[in-house]
Amino acid sequence: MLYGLVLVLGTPGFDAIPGNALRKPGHADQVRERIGEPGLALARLVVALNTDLRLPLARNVDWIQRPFRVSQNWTLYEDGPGNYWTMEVLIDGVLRHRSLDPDYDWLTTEIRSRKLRPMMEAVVQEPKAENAKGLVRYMGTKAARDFPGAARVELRALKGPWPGKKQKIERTYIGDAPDWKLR
Amino acid sequence: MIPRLWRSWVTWCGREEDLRPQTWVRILVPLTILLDQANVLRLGLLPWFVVPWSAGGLSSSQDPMYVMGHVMPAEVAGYVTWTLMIVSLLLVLFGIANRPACLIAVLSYAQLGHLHPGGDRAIDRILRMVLLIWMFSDAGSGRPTARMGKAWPADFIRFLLVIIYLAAGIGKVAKQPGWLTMVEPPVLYRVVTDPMAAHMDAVALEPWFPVLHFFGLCTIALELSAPLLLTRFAPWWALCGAGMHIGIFLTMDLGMFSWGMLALYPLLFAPWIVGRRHADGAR
Repeated sequence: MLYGLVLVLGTPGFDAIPGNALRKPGHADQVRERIGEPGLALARLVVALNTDLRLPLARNVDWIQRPFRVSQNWTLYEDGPGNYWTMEVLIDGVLRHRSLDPDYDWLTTEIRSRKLRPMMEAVVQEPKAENAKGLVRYMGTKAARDFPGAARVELRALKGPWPGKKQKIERTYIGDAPDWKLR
Repeated sequence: MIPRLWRSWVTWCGREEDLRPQTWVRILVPLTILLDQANVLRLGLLPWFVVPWSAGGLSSSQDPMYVMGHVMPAEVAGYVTWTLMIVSLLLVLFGIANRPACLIAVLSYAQLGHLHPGGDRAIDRILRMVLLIWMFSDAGSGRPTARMGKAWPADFIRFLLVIIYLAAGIGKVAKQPGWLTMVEPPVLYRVVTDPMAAHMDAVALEPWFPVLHFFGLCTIALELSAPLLLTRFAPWWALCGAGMHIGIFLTMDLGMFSWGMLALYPLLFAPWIVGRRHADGAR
């Protein structure tokens, strides 16, 4: 039963099938063009197995995973970044931290620690990331400790095409002392 | 035919094996999580993670399954949960009251994940799954010495590792066919020089594109060949897998990911740990 449960919840490769696979106008024709008629028939079978059998079953047993927080889609580092993102932190207008720059390494160990890095990554890459206010408050508090009198923390997300060196500011979050609330 | 197959399956699931590899996993998994938490303490991050944003912490959104914050004040709930997790992991590590300790460790570890979803990664989920299964292991107490016990928890984790690696391999090729071609720059180059998740120098690595292509292909070959973990070739596969995880540790900033995965490898090296004769009996 355990084996069946894991197979239903985490069938390798099935996570990558979009919910609307082969249903969008023209999608089936594209697939036929790429892998031929027998390939399209096989793709239809896989999509039907996923949407009509696996997903309804998975939805019914998903609740078992929630209290233990063990659900996941098993997709681990599939790709590099489509764009080149870096983060800069300025305290009172002075650059103190830049991703992977040893000349500006304030708070680098903390920011790149396992628990904080994914949060920082999301804040940099996602528009209106919820956790920006927590991250700016954290940085403001640390700035007040390391740079007495610090009054403003500015977190900048820079984006550029990959590969390449030219980046532009994509978004900025600013917090002010003493409570470091976002502007 | 079907009853015979079913009987064989039940016999296979009910067989016993040398418990040394399972005992090593029982020791290494909590040890990895405890060291990870020690690092959180060292960096002074604990007060930021165990308290929600509304009470002065980092995370502004909590999973609806986070219940500890409803049964006690938010300022202390996270600390209590964290202490429960540390104590229960220590109990698992030393083989004391394994079943309740595993259950409390998983539930409290999960609560911390619900409290701070952004910092709860794939490796946390995998290790929680292992602790959950280890509740039923006969390796719940004692040191890693030769004794026999149920084999199915180890079999199940090996199966889980096949699913994980296979899904990772299929996902990579499906999302980025460049893993299999000589596209420039190599996908692995992009992965290990990502400024947000890795720390390799993009310029210094440019002359190494052919090597990165080779390692990229090796990664895909390794992940897609994960079903070998269910055969007698498992230790040889695991040698390559260990190499991959050490490579990830050296090039990327994923914290305990590599060590957490390697903590499960005693199950894959089982034939070499317990000796060929015992292992063949186990399979």
